[in-house]
Amino acid sequence: MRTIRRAGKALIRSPLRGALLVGVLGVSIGLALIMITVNAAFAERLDDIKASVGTDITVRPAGTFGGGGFSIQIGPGGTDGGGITETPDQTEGGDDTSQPTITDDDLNSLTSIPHVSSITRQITAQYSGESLKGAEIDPPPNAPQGAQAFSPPILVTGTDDPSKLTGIGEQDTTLSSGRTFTSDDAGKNVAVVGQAVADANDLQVGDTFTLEDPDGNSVSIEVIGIYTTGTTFGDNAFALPIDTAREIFDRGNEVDQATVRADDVDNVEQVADDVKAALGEDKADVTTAQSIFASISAPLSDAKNSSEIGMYAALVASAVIILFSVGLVARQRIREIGILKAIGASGWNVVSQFSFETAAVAVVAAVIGAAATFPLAQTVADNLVSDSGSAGPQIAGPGGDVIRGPGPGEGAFFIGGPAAAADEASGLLGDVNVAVSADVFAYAIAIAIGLALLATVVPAWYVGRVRPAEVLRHE
Amino acid sequence: MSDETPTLVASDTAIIQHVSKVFPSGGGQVKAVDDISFTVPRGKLVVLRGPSGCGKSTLLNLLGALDKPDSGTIMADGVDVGRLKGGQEVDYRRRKVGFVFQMFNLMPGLSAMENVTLPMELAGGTNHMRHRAQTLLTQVGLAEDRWIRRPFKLSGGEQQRVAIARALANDCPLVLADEPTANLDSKTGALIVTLLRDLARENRTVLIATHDDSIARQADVVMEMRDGRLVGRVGD
Repeated sequence: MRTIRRAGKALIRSPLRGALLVGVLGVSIGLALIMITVNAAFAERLDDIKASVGTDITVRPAGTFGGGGFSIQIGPGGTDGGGITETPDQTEGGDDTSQPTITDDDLNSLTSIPHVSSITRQITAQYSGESLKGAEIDPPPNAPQGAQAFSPPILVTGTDDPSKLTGIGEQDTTLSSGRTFTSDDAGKNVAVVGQAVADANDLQVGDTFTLEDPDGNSVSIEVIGIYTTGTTFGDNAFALPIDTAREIFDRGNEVDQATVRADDVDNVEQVADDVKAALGEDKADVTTAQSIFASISAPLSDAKNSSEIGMYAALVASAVIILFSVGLVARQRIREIGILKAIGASGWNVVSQFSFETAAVAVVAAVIGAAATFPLAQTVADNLVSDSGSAGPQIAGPGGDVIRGPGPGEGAFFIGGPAAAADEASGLLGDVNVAVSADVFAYAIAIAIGLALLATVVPAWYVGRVRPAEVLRHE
Repeated sequence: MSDETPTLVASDTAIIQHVSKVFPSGGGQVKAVDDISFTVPRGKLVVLRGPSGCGKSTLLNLLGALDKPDSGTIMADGVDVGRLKGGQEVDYRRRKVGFVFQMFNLMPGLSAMENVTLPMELAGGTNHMRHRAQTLLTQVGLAEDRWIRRPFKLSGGEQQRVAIARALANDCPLVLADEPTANLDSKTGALIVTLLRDLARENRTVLIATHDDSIARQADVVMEMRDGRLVGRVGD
């Protein structure tokens, strides 16, 4: 207690020196705290993004692209003038005879991979038969004069995910009437229909419509639900239970896209590697939403890295400043050290006094630094993000293709997959709100204590080597 | 250092035998203390007299364990000062010697009272420190209204009184004073010498390094130093 009192008096004795020390140290501690706070905010936002990415791993036949290759087209102009037309996948190359396929057997082999919680399957096709009309899309305002409205093929998804609307491919799908599939619907002729298809064919829940199968037979399908995505493309589609779709489109046990779900977000990459190894890279493209989000969140990651570097730089600067300052003070007060030792102070007595002095300076500086963190941390975070993320996010798709996430007002053309992920990620990137919490003060105190402990090295070193006679000799 | 350990007789506070101390100087060496031997009788005022640089202060520093001799033996109050290490050295400085410096060397951040209690605090302290400090400050004649003042608000004479009180704080048997009047006017210096003289009468040994003849005239023993050597001794 007496040592603390002496330390306090020594500080008061030279208020200017103390104030300068506090000021310089406060700036560097403040900078470190700002960087710690900003870094934590970035880390939290990245964790949010990571959590929202989920644990899905997408598996597609190697070389296919987007949310699933359109393997089969049913409609006029086909081989039998009204049945199905096999079309090449929308892949580079386009030769579907060499296109690898994934089957149920392949997927069954994945169930033994550790941390796999479930596997859902999906096939996709286009339907342009006469029995079901698709939406008519007006030409865009900037289209050449004379351009006419057109009807794109109806997209058909077969899925075995019984409960989730996202199982039919759209991230922002909402059920406007009826219901989605249940496990009881497996193999039944039921469909969840997009709003555009429902409108074009005047369909309601409970109505039926007819599809032509590859043999030209008519298959009656009951509408059990109608969904909307908010876009005409997204609504120009319908979904069937996968077994029903396979039968209608004669797809055997093929799978256009499978979703392997890991049991934990931390296991996603490991499971993805295991899936790749099990299927072989020549057979399947395996993508995780995480890797896509990594691309999207790159600006945020860059900002986080910058703040981390800044944090370490500021901490090192604080350490250097405190060592240099205390060293300077100890040197200035070497005579005082000599006197103290001459009248009976032990090395410990002197070191502890200097340590208390330094600790007091460091704590005051830390409080000032912490106070400065509140108004400045958000500004620093905003600047770091805007510096790192001035270019829009680009996502490398399988095979190195670059696709762009949808901008405002644009529809997500690709069903599910990276585009939908990009959509979600773009929303997440947004602003990073820096919450300056009580933790900042805890960090400040921790830094102050750390610096104070570090600073004891200097007086300890000085005190150890000072012989009182040497410093008192030159009176 | 000599292997021969001198025997300290009861009437002596300290015995110095064949002590030498060399300092490096400009690439060479200077013998500040050159093979000096003498005894310091208990309860006497002993003056080490000589010109500046003759080794008086060095000898005092060696006796006060502020420095170590290169050779020779220093025994003080039963302690082999030259062989002290770490905590023993600190303990010796706390309990055996009190130092009075030419420049007073008070702690600038502490009041007169706190400067006197400081050695007691460092030695472990007691509940009676403040009372003892008051007694000592009264003994050295510092007016009570000066007790709470910090050194820069005291005159040179007052500061030296505080320094003497501080040297006595732990009731040390040996008081070492290095040019205690050099920064004081003659009248104040005389008062300080009287104070030191009185300490010796209390059966405390006071060793003063000075070139002031007026102090030497009041001493029980005067030892003359030249160029690091003892060249004469007057008194018993």
